[in-house]
Amino acid sequence: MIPPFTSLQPLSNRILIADPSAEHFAFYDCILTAQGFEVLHVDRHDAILDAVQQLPPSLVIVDLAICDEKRNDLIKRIKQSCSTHSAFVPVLLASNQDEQILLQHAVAKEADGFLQFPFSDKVLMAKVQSLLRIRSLYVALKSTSDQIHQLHYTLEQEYKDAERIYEKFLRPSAQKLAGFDSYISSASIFNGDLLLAKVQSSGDVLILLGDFTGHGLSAAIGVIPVAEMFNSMVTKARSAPEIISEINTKLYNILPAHLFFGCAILQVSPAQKKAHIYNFGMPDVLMIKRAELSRFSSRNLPLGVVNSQRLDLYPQSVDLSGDEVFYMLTDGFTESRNPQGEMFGDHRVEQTLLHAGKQGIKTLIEQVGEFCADCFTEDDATIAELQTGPILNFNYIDSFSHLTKASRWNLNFRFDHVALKQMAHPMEGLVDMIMHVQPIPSHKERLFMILDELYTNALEHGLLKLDSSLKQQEDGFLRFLNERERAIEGLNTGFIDVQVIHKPLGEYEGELSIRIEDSGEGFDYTELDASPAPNQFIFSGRGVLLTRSLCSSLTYEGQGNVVTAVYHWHLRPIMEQAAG
Amino acid sequence: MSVEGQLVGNTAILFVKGRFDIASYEEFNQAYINFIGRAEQFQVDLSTTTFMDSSALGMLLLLREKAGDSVHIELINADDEVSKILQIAQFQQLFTIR
Repeated sequence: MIPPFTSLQPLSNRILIADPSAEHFAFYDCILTAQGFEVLHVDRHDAILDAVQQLPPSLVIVDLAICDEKRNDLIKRIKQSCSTHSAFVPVLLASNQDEQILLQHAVAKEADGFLQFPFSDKVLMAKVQSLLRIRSLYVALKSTSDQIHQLHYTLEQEYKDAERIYEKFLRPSAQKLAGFDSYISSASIFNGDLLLAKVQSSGDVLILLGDFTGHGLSAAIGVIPVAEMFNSMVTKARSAPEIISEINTKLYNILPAHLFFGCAILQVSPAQKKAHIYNFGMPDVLMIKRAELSRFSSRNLPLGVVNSQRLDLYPQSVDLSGDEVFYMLTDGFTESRNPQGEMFGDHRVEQTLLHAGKQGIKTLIEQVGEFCADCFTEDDATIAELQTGPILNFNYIDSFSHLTKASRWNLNFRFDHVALKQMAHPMEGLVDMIMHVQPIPSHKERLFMILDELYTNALEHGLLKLDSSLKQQEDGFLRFLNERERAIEGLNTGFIDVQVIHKPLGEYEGELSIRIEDSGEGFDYTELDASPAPNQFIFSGRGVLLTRSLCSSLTYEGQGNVVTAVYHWHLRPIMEQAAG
Repeated sequence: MSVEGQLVGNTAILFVKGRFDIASYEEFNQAYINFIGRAEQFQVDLSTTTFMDSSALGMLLLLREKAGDSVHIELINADDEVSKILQIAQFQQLFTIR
């Protein structure tokens, strides 16, 4: 509901005279009409309030003679009657009594001014105009203040709406995770703090804590695209560096230069028994293990500042044994100040967490609150805690209901020369599609490598007829790339066929047969099959060796323009490891 | 809080006094905008800066962008607290800090 907003009518120039004497009214009327005012008259006490309501005046002159002797509230009631129409209607009290008595009455009856008979036309006009000036000032002020109230109210409504949208975005990611706890101060939601936690289908737990520059709307607005990218990329089993690089690219493109996103990602992998920490301009990520503290400091610029190619996407990694506790924080805790202006500081944060036992978050909030005497709630502060024990011991058999059973399917793709020219990395999309039909995230990287190597060979050697030995010469790589670009430019015929056939070997086990055929002339693969000495392949040919090492078999056929790779997957090892 | 800018030779020096935060936005921008294109390098003197938040980092990035890649920018004389903030943000990758 919209609050009462008195839209003020334009100021009228109507003046009401409440005076039993017809002579007095004639006097007022003569002077005021000459000045352009509309002058109304009531001569009875009981008619005043009706008159005021029917034709609201800008000013009222009340004669003491019309007032009830026993009551002092006439002027107050006039003002109340006017209040539905206008913010402020000044009332003058007039009388021919002596000054002392008039003054007493004016004060008692709360008049805005008084007139003592006899008075000149100049005195009357001076008083009337001065009160009307005050009235117009008051009306202007009231109108501004009403507008501010209105805006404030609208803003509050918008905040509520935004909060609902936030909830929708952030709730799906606030997965209930064993060992995970967090605190997000109420002020932080609209100050650009963002905490996301999600489990990948590989069993890896990913926690992102970020903080946009500045405060308020501009800081909050970036949260939504980041949350969306994170959630969808984690679901697609993208790696942390891929996620970071994608978020960075997006923010780099959309954020103005002075806005950026400090961001830390903690990845806990039960399969590897390792934690990987990526810190981009956030306070140290802390790890407590057997009463010892380790810090993982920022090694990069915050996200959204430079091109993704300039980011160092290598994590800081640590082996886990299940007794570690990680803390990720925004700077709200460290920067909380006590009434003397002293900061809580990193040292106090670390010491508090180190000695807090299992109650890290609760104790820290209490300590900071005590330190800065209740001002803490004003700050935006977010903290996340992750105990590695429950993650490492999590029973993955339970989560197997989320996994898709092996099914029988195949896919065929033909890329003609137009598609080959346009697509930089067609295998990325293909792997995503496979992951959608048969989610086997822990095999994704290997699958991509196989497909990409074989596709690249088909393109570069089969269709473009490039010579890899170029790469062995000085500056060869650059020349190779130039040649490649020129060859692609000139490509106007040919195709590459990709066929993937999947057959299940068990509930969570299967075999992918990947066949890639190009329209080129092929090559003499007997030499390759004779297992060449690796040193001949320092700068080229590594692709085939690598691919062969990932597959259960790799065979060339025909003229060498057809290759088939067989890849075997099963998810049982992760399950056994986790259960054991 | 106040920002003063002066041109010494071909170096524009900006002195940031007191709290360096969003309240300084207008003043900081005003202080350097006239030197853009005239100064060959910038020095932001933080010796009297008592506090710096992420908005201030943002303003430095804005200066970085406006000045262009060929212009050298130094952040000098930061105290421990301010240095810590610059270090967390890894600003040594974009500025010379000393």
